[in-house]
Amino acid sequence: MKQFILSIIFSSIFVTGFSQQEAAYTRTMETNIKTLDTASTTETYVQLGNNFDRIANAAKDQWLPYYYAGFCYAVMAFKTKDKTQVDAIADKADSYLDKADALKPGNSEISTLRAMITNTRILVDPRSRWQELNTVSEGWIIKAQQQDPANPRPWYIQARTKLYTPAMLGGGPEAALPVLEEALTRFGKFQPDNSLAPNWGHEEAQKLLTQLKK
Amino acid sequence: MRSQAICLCFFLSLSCCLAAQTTITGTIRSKNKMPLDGASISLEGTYYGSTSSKGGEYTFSSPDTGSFNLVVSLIGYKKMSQPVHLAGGQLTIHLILKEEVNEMQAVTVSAGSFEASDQRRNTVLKPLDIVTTAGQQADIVAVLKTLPGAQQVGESEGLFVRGGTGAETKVFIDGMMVSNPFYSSVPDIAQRGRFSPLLFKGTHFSSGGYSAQYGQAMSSALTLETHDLPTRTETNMIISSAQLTLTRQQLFKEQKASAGFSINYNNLEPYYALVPQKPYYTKAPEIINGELFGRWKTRKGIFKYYGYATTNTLSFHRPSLENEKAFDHFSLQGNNVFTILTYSGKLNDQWKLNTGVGFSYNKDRIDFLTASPADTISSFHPRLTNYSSQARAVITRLFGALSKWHTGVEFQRVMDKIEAKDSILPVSRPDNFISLFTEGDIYLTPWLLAKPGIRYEYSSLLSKGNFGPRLSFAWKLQKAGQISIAYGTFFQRPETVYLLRKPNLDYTRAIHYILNYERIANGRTIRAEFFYKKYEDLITYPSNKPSELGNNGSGYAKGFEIFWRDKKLFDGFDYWISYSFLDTKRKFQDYPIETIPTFAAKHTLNVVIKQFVTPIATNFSLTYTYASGRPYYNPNLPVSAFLSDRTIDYHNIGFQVNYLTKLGKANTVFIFNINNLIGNQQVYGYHFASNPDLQGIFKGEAITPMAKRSIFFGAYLTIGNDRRKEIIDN
Repeated sequence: MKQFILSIIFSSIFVTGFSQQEAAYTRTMETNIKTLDTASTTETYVQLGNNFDRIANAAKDQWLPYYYAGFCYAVMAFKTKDKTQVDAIADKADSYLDKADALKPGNSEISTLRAMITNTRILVDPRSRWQELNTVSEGWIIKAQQQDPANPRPWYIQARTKLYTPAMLGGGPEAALPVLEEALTRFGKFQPDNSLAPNWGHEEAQKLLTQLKK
Repeated sequence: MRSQAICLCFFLSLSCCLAAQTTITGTIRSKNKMPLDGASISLEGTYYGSTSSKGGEYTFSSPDTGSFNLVVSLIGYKKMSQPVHLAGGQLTIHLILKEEVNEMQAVTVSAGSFEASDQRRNTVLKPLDIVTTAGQQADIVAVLKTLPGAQQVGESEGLFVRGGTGAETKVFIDGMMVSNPFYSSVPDIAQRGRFSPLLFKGTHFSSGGYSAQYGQAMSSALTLETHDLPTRTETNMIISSAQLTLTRQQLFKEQKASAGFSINYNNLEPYYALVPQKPYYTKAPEIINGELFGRWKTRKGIFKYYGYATTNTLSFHRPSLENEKAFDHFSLQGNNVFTILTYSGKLNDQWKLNTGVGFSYNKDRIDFLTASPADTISSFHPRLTNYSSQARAVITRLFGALSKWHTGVEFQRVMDKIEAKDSILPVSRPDNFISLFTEGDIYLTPWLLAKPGIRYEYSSLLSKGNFGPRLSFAWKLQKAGQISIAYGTFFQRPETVYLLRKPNLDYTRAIHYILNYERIANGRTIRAEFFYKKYEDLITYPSNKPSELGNNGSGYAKGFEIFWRDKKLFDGFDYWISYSFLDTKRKFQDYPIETIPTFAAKHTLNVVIKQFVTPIATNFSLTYTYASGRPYYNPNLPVSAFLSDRTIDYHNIGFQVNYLTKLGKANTVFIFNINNLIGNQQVYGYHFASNPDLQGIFKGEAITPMAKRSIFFGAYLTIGNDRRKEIIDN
């Protein structure tokens, strides 16, 4: 009997301990994701990247902290003014995605980020790199679209990529518009799995559409 | 038991809910005390941590107690961790991060050195520059001529560097010497390089003071590095006003090996029919060549094979200066083979091996004939053959992340032969040539590099050896750029033309001293370089007795060079300016006095402008080149006025348009290039009749380009295996 009570006490301690941990994870993630949704400065992205890195190191079985850390570094790679730093930042972003991918293989969100990171690398030296890397970027987009046709983000990234590609090379606003509309249709129907799952891009896509229609 | 359990329960709840907060604050700085922002500070395994601010400060609190690791990381710095004990209250921890220096950031010797590479971030040129610089289309040497140190010599092929002749520059591919890097010489007409710039991922041009790993070049070394494994299977085509080329590279499964070929047919006849040339070609240059490529990546290294074979013909005639009714006829038929197999890889964590074998063959059948309708005035029919076999091995010991020590051995078996019907009996000059060298890249700190080296060479033909010491230093002053100095003695076998006449000559020799300042930052490059070069034991002969050769020549070259490149001024706009000042004199060949040689201009200026216009995917490039007049030999002057005449100054504007587009599935670049856009008169020198006319005057004629302008139009097409598919399928 004693042992039975003891085991209940122990298991209850573990269960509460565990669920407390879980709750702390969810709470921290939610706070950081909320900040991410409104982030605009590089400093904030650096901070958030570090925060997600810490969460990832404490909750090593979760793919989302790695995904978000990778996302922050991808944005930093876009934003950084010192072009010589971009490859190192993009490498770091890719290293987070490698870890995310190991925990959640074949995920459409991860493939979308891969395309974004490839685009940042192209921008370092478009004339030398475009020819080689644009097919890599397109490859990741198509892969992301196939992995989850309901995910609007690969369409959104595809539209952005097309917008910044010269018309001569199959890009430009006219080529971007139908893809963006496709993305927005999907954004309209999209439901994230849970409160922590990636759910960015809808607002930006809408803004881009008003810009393009001007 | 129960009390224990309760106790445990209490302890656990205490630890997770009621623990005293510990606040950790501090600053993160670099070794030179600069505050570092954006660093991640965390208690390992917990959510607690922070990011350092602009002033390097951080602060955070944690309810945890006990021993933890405080981990700090920042891109570009070594991750560090420090044990901390949390027991409530305040902890102050200041930390200093060490820079993580990789080979790309560490200092390198920039004295005399220009590099075009995608791998190193800070290079003066990118491989793409070689194809998009106006001038002669896609010729490596033509682009290098826009850099400081190189002379604008239009009447002869090769790189004439800092008062040196074209023969004083040697070309190396993957460490192996190239015996005939240019198409064989034609009187008064510079020939192109044999190898396409598209073959190389790295081009390194040294205008002096180069590494002990290379030798036999008194002035300059051009080292080219071929591509590794291609990233995809690819077909390339070049269709131009003079050329048809098809290249195919196949990347095999698992991306460990590739094989490819290239076939190329050049014929200038259609172009010469449209744009008349001087001299008059009875057979316009025609070139057929084939290439083979192989790559095999092993676990620790890579094997590379490159094979090249070509045959070319041309013949022309022009009115002779010897006789009013006579013509000078020239024809050339050349065959060339060049093939190398190299291996480069790691033996283990400390040792690296670079090794290779190579073979090359060159045969030129040349016919000179000066004849009038009535009779033959002179004729000469030399047949020149060269066979070279070579083997090379360099073993490198690595010390830490940066320092290295290279030791190597090279063996070359060179055989030169000449014979000429009715005038020269067959002569052959075999030479077994051995070189040994050892050289270190010693990083005293990542910002201070010392590079001592020595090279020993022995030639069986000369039956003489030599020791060439090399020493250079480079010191990086962080944001302020870097300073480097270089010194070296460079020996060279006398040129084949002399060795065929007389084998027992001595090495010719040059001693270089170079001081260089370079700063590459934020898309801008500035370089300034001073040099002093001393020539000794140059080949001499009396002008009326060309077989009485000796090593009695000498000379010097000194000067300074400035290079400025700015990619930041406007979006897509990129320009560079290079200026060279050269003061050189030498006594060599049949010069009666020490004087400025015919291939040296005092002032050389290059301005290269490129503008990429994104909306139309087009690159415009303009190159302006100026060189002050060069001396030429005028036999009508007395010996005391030897080489005192100067040609007119040289001005040239080249213009190029590259238009990027897609033709079906092919990425296509259309290239239009025009040389001497505004039609300046250009004179490279003069040549004179060998005998005076009846008035006692030697008749002369200017050496000029073959046509006022040269135009090139072509398209480069690339059809690659779709890499999209690879990514989607994996």
